[in-house]
Amino acid sequence: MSVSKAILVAGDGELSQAIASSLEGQGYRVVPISSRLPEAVGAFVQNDPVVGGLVIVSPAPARDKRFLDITDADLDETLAAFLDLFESLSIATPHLADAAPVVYVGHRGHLGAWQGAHENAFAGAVAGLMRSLTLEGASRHLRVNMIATDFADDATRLQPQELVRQVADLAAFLVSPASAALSGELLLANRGASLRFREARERSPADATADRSGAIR
Amino acid sequence: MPELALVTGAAQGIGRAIVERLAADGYRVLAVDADPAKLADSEAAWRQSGLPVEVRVLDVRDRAVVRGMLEAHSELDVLVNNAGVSGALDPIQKIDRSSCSRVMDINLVGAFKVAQEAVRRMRAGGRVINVASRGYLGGSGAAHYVASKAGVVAMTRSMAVELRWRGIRVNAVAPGMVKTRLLDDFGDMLPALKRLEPSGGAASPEKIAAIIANIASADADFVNGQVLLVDGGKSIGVPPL
Repeated sequence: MSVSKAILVAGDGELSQAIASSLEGQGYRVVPISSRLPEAVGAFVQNDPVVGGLVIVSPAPARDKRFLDITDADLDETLAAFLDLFESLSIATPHLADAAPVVYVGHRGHLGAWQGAHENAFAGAVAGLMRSLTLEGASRHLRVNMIATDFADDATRLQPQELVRQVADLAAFLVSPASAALSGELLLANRGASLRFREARERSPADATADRSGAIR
Repeated sequence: MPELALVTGAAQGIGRAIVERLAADGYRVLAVDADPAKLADSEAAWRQSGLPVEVRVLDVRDRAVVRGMLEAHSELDVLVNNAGVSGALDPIQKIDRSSCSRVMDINLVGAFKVAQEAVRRMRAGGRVINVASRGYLGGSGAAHYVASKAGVVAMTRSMAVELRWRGIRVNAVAPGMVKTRLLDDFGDMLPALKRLEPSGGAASPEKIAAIIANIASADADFVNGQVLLVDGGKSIGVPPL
């Protein structure tokens, strides 16, 4: 792929900046996007109809709400964020160059996690969406991959700076031709923590006592 | 008193088969659907058969109506979260925001709201079974539907993680091709798609209902947080998300 075609890097946090820097260091032309995604992608393809690649970074949520405490407003907000992503991919897909990489950096909620069930559900929805994009883009050799990081409060989490650097390097690898054999994959970037069945043990002791009483609320 | 089961999307197809199976197994069934005409047809058949089924026209997106309906019952034992729509088989670039929003709102957000309201009425021993689809593993066309069902699978896992401490089991069933009216959406492609099925065709709704009844039973009380693919083996070799 020609390095002159732009790689769009969406997200306004430290991680998206680190990914952009890593890609620029490898000679890519990077266009950072920090405004609302559908409008930004739409505006870009109006001026430059060929997109060399797409990297979308979605920050791991706070995961601070129990299942029964999640409100309609929480659900609406999460749905709106998903629809922004879907609409952006719908706009960008016809403009992606053949063999263009698409990388989504999200969190491990798709596997199920304690609290934040709405965010976890939509993490699963994104994974399904990306797998469909992989299959639909196969005839054009689009490469679609995902990275799932730990949550911010995970005990096994890497140190923040180390996490940012390592995930940024992984995302840059998935953009590069060195990962040409990979598509449709979801990489868990947590040093094997998922193999420890952590969620099966995790709970709040207070919740366990109260919930076992069978109280309806 | 027999256990009470709530089934959404109950008027036809897999939902209707679930209602009839659970009623035959001895449950009192609360059967809800957004389509009043089809629900009335099914209700007439259930009444004629003497099945203990109470019906209610209900849109799963309307939390207040779901809550109001459940408040009339002291306790709920089983929820089968089956209501859903398929969406057009278009590629991503041809699916607009409003179409995507409708599918996600019914299949995932609606299921989430019903699950919350149902769980509020459950004590230890309650069971939730979410109906996903083999499509959650990905597919060409209908990416909004795929996403919605992948979301249902992820919701199932998170619900199981949290609710096991209340003694409530949460699982999902992911059917493959099933003989329902949704097959009509495939049109001329249907014979070719059937040839891709290792089983040689589509499952009957009753086959799916039987699996759901088993997961709801005490026989499955050590099954929690799982996604059971009921597709005749087509998904063999496909890794989980």
